[in-house]
Amino acid sequence: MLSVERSDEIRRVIDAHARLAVNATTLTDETDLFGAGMTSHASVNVMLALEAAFDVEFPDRMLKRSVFASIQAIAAAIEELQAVDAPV
Amino acid sequence: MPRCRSLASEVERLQAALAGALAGLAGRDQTPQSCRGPLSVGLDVLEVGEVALSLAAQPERYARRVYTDAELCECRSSCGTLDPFALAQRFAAKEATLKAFRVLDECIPWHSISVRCDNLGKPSLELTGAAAALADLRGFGELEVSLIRVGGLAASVVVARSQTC
Repeated sequence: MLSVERSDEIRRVIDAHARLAVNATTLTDETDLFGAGMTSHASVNVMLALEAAFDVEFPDRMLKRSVFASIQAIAAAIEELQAVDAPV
Repeated sequence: MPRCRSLASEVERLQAALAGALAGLAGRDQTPQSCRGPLSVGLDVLEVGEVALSLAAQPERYARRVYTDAELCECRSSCGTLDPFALAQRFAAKEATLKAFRVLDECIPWHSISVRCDNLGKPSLELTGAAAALADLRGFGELEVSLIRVGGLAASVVVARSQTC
């Protein structure tokens, strides 16, 4: 289950950068963002905006389609990156 | 509907350019006939305006994450500004390469595919790291790339020839 705060922030980024024809509030957490119209180039902008919003950096190993395929997948990736960066 | 007519015209010109590029690329293939495996073709089309918007929003971060130093050098004007058309063509070439390589969910960083142009403007692909490894895995020995510019669209065709000997 995604936190509402994280999910809302991801949706805000998607609305601003994914160039979808629909509002991100109409998407489920599992909706395929590429299927909804996000282009590869738009996914770059989404990635950069997510990095700024969540203060993370996506490493090369995460630069693949499945990481940005849905709100749920993005949230999982951000959670993993923040866990790595969190103080022990 | 002048905008629709304009778009239809651009698409027609783009189709003609892509067909011509594909024929030209196939004709330049140096692989001996007896060693020629199947051709794999990738093409990608991108609105230049998308790249212009990215450059306007966060020029340095966008440029550094996607393009190699050599690509950025080739895409800078004499006054130092980045040309969105040239960058859009290179992004299309990277995507066309991924399509020709039949990438599904492999991790291929953008920097591992670099588009270089010689003094005559002829483009070629330089593969490093994950992209080079995938080309080896797929058996692609010959690669050709074409960069196309039609109206507000940038496009690229990549032809990859697998070798059987």
